Amino acid sequence: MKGGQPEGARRPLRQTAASQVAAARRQAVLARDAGLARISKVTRWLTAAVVALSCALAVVAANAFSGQTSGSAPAQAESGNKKKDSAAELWAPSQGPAATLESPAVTSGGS
Amino acid sequence: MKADIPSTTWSALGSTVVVLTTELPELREAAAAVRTVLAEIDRACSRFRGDSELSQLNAAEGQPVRVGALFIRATRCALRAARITAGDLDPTIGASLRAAGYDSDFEALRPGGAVRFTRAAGWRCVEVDEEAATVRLPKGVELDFGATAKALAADLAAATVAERIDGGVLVGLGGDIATAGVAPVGGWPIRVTDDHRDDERAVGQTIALTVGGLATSSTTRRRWVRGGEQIHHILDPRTGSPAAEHWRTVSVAAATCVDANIAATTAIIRGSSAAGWLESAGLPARLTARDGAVTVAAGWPLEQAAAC
Repeated sequence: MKGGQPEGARRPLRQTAASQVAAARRQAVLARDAGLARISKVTRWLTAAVVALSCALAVVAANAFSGQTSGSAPAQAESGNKKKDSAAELWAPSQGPAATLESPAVTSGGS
Repeated sequence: MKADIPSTTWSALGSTVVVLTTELPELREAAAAVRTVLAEIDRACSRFRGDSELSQLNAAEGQPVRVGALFIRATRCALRAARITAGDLDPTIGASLRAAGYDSDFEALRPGGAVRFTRAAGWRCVEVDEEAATVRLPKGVELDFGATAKALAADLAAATVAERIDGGVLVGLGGDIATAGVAPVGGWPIRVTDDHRDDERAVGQTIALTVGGLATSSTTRRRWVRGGEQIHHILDPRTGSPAAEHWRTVSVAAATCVDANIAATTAIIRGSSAAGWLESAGLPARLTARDGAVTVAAGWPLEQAAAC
């Protein structure tokens, strides 16, 4: 013998330590992967929520501020359907004319 | 005419101006305010004044022209009319009117040779830049605000007067009438007929207007002769020729004089379909056919109810 522990006595100890380290590493990897998966899941949900919120805000804004044209836009930019007749945009009086037997004070006729 | 409503009258914008107020002491101030508004409109929108903004724009040959806020407003008003009527009223009719012979103040028109009608360029070519306060037309395009400017003037004048007096006011520019403030008891009595210069004996109907505006368009006025044929001033933008005379006169009541005038002139151009269109729009109207037959729409009072 040259001194120290015999070869047969030292090998099991090294193997046990190595397997413990390997197991610990595997556990650490698994824990890391699980953490990353959780983070990825949360990120996906956050992304989806932000996109949905943006769409909702866009719809609300479009409804709230519709009908504005830029100052430099040509007149055609504000036109709607060329064939569309928008007579509903002409405002009727809150009270229509009535028959009267009074003498007229003014005339409305062609000019 | 009725004597107990204070009134004053004069000529402007090629027609007769009438101002009525419910209170006599306020008539003078009202008339002064109306004169100011009409002078501003004339400087901005007259096709027959060389120094008007409209004349300068029509002569700009495609270049943008810097204009005032009133001109921008008048342009927007005319473009709105074009959009609402799907182009039946089109401010780019200016060159068509000139081609048809209406090239100077109406009183100065003389009979002339045959004309070749040209269709309107189309209102979508008008470029309005409100930030730069400019309007640009393609070269060769000319605007005419005849279908809206006078009515706009009446609305603006009535609103201006209403800010300065306590009582009610009526402003009449030819056939275009705008009211503001509280009307006299029973409403403003108004005769609707073919010609705004007619008196109460003329064929027509007297109605009472309490709020809003009233406008009458007619083919019986502003007629001239070219090539031996009579031409009237309401042109169909799609052909540039005078609109077919299914109706000779149409009167419409609306919330504003501008809307009443848009509807009345469009009705002349649309002919037989106009009564149904006015009915569906809820605009009380009286339409007189070439033979004098009267059709009413959307609650306009029946003829016999007002007859006396």
